[in-house]
Amino acid sequence: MSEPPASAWDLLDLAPGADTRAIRRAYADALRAMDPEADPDAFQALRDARDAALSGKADVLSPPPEPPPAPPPSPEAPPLEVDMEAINGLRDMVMEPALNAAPDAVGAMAERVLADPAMVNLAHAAAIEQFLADLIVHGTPRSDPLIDPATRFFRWDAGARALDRPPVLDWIAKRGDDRWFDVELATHHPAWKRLLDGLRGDPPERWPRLRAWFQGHRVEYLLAYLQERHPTTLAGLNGDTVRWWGERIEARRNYPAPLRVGDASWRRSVFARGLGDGGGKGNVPLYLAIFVLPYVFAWFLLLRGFSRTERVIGFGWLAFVLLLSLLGSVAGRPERAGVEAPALAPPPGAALERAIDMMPPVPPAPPEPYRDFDIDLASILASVTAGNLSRPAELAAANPAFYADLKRRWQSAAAGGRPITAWQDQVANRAMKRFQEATRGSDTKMVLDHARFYESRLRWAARASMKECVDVLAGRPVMENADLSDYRGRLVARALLAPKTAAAPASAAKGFSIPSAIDRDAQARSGLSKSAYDRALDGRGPAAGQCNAHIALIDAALLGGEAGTELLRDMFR
Amino acid sequence: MIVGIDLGTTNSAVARWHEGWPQLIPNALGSLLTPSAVSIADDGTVLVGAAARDRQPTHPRATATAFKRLMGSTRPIMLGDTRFTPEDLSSLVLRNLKRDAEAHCGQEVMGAVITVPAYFNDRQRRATRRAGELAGLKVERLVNEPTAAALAYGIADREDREPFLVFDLGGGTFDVSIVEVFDGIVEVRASAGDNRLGGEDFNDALLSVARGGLDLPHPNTDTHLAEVMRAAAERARRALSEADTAVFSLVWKDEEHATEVTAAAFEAAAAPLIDRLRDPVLRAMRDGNVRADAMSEVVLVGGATRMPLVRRTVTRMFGRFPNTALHPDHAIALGAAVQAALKARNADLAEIRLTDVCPFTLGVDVMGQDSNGNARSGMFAPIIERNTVLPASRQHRFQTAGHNQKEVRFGIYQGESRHVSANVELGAVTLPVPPRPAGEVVVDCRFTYDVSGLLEVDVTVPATGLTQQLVIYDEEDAHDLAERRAALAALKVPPRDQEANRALIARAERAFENFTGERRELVAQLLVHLEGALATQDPRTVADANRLVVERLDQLEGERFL
Repeated sequence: MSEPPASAWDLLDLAPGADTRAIRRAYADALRAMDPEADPDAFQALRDARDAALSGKADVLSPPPEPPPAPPPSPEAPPLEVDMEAINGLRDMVMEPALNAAPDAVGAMAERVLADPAMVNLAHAAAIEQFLADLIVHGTPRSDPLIDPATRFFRWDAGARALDRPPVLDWIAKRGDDRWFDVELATHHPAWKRLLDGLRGDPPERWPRLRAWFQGHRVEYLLAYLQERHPTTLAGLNGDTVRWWGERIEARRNYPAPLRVGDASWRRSVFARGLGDGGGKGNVPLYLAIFVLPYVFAWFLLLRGFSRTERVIGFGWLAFVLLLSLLGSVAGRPERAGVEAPALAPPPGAALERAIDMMPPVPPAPPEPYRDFDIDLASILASVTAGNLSRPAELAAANPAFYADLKRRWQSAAAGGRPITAWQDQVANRAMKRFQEATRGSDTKMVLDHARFYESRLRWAARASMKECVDVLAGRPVMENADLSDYRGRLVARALLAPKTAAAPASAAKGFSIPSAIDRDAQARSGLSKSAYDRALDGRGPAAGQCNAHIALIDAALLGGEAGTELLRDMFR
Repeated sequence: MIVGIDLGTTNSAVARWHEGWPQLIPNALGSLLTPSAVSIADDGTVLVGAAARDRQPTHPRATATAFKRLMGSTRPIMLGDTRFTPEDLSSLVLRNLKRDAEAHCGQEVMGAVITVPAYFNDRQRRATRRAGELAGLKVERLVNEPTAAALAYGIADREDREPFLVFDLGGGTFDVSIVEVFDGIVEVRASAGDNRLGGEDFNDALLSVARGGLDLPHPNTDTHLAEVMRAAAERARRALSEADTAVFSLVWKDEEHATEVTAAAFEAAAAPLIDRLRDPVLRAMRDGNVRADAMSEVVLVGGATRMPLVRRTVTRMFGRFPNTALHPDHAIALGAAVQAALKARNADLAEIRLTDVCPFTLGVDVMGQDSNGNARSGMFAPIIERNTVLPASRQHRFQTAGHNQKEVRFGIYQGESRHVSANVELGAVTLPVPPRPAGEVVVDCRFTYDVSGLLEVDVTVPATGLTQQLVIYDEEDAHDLAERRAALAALKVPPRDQEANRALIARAERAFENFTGERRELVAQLLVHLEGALATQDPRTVADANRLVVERLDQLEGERFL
């Protein structure tokens, strides 16, 4: 299964592919034969060899095949009494909108779960930590009151960003900041808050077309604003509603010409104004007054008692004022702090800036002449790993063969006079290849993390639309948000720094076999009938079904232990 | 001969490897534990051990205990008119132990393996090493306390053990280690701890509960009162280990004050301390990559783990009863003896090896980018991550931050925080660099950390080939050390055979202060009798008087503990 470097087996004096016990015994013998204090380098080499050899094995901590004569088992302490009522109650309050739980009640229930005496037990505490993290992510925004107590209890905000910090904690930290956006909207921009609440509910039922026409631009702007500034809020929106709005906005482009008059300038003005100070409705009386005033003035002028000259002057003045105001609005207001939305966050349905899916973009700076291998390598690594690995020295220490290979290519490219972009593409290709090998290789943690990352991508795409989710499944390029790109960068960095493991060759067969237990579990989670589920996994049927089925399958595999991990390896082959 | 010494906050012990087993060595009073206490008598002699400990309530300004908590700092401690550093006091205890070992075994003790809490930082370890040298011992190795306990446990039956957790709650420190034994190799996977959490803190908690029921001034006002209260709190806490309620009683200004303390009230007051037990355990498990239910067992070490509160917490944390097979007070010294035998390459332990880890992250301060992309100085760049197996040698490459920089200065720090201001500084290395634009000069920095905790830093500029090396160990040179050693040796210490007598006198005086009324009269009479017997200098009279006084004191006090 794994291929630790040949030198590892030599150092341990073993035949390649020996089992765990043999490796550990060989390490013990070698350690006894040397003096670590006298020769620290040799000791380090021995440790690395042992770790490399063991990393190929399933689980170092699994019990040996023949259990040694077990000492009398220590008596189990009194069984754990867990307050399941509080836990289930909390889940219902957050996940069932019908219960209409007040934020204070949710917070109080969370405190009850955390204050449970059973939390002293470390295994239970770890399970609750996982449970609360999942609940916060899936229950946005009703789960906002959970963020503070959980972060405080589990110290999620402590410590630097390690390379293997799970992305869910980053997401929760972001959400902790973003939830104040809701409050800000409610106090300062009530009209926009109403729009946002509308997006959280079901698609509008009364006068849908009229509402779409009236509010379409503002909804478009709000979605773009959220995508850029507060992406975690998007997670709490109703998927159907967002899709419905997307369709309406898309359809608007295809209106017949007469109805599109002034539409573009209206959209521009909405985007330019941004959230504004206090929303739109408050100014209605003012607009009415301005609209009505000319008519009042005209009527006044047409009353008796004014001479012709006076009327001419009056109407001329009125015409002049109207002309001025028209010119002023057409020239556009000064840009206020709004989002340059059309460029940055294209509305759903428009031509997306297709981010290349598997290959990271080559840095946009004009390619410079070959300066120094390390500096060039640092810049391409930084772009491949989204900034998470930028020191070539780390790569050289972790994977000298890979580093040397890249260096050779660089030197040959420099000597051959080829543009540096060619070499950068090569580096990116090889890096991604190693990453793909790692995702089906022997490092279990990497396989699981990649599976979780893939699931996050599916869920993120599903928020936008089920069609996008299917695009991700099919491998078509899809726009990602910054957090997902950063996490992929971290995974690539880990793959590059890990010892090379030769995974099984990518098989040509498209399918993979799913263990029946996991299959049943996944089908239950997806909520589909057996036949619908099978069709969805084959890539047929409605997009929503396909998306849900695949997400459910990954969920089940993540919880499926050894078999699940094998399945995940096969899936990404 | 090399011995193993457990230099604890409350008690110390010395052990050796003898005939295939580690064995504790009794002191002059015949007990296996020697209290870590030093006191100066009125005639200027220095008392160490039980005698000093018993003098604490009566002569608090001339007695020092729990100075292990001050190791690593240079805070002087005044005993009477003489000024001592914490290392001096520790060295006096060590010398006493050395003397006892030589007397018992009949051989000269040349070297020792001394234990330190796993979470002791570099300065504290160097101070412990200096204390050993001041006592005339060659410090062969400093070994971590939970590792020592794991050694004693692991070689007991020479069987393989799945990863187990050593939970060491002593008088002043708390350490957690995850250890694995396979084929005679004892491997520490991770270590964590809290240097300011121990039995003493639980004493304070009980004191806060008891003071509510007493009408006495605040202990801050008077050191004597503080000492008496602390001793009373310790007694009550031990009593609570056996019963549900205990009487907290003390005598102050010839009045007896007493109040009852319930176990429930004590546990409520100690709840924050129990909370602090969780974090080191979680961190060790995370670093060692072992889940709570995958741990094969939890081994309790350290006197404070006798508390039912602590035992119950550990049981609930892991969902199973902990393993109390090791004697909590002896295990560490026995483990130190095992390490001493390993160091001496004793044939009995030919197939045993031990690998330990570095409990703290070591690194340098650099100028880096914070989360907003602004340049900030004082950021911590780790070079040797915590829980790296020792000996370890790692190198990182850095570059200059400014244009035409003349020199680079590496401040060396130990800790986990991203900002060096929150970490412990160990030293600094400076190296001149050629003037170039920022980022063009690279500097290599290599850290080498060996099993004894000696850190060597090598800084090189490849462009110029200049190298600078810094070895972080004692700043004091040998000459100063010899002077200090001579000064300490010149202190008057009572001869060993007199120790029992001095201890008894001290104990009687303490009893005198503790009692009132009739019992106090009795003790006064006993003291007179004892001093009279000592004045005759006849060994038999003295021995008889000793026996009598001990018997009576035991009856009066009802208990005797260290």
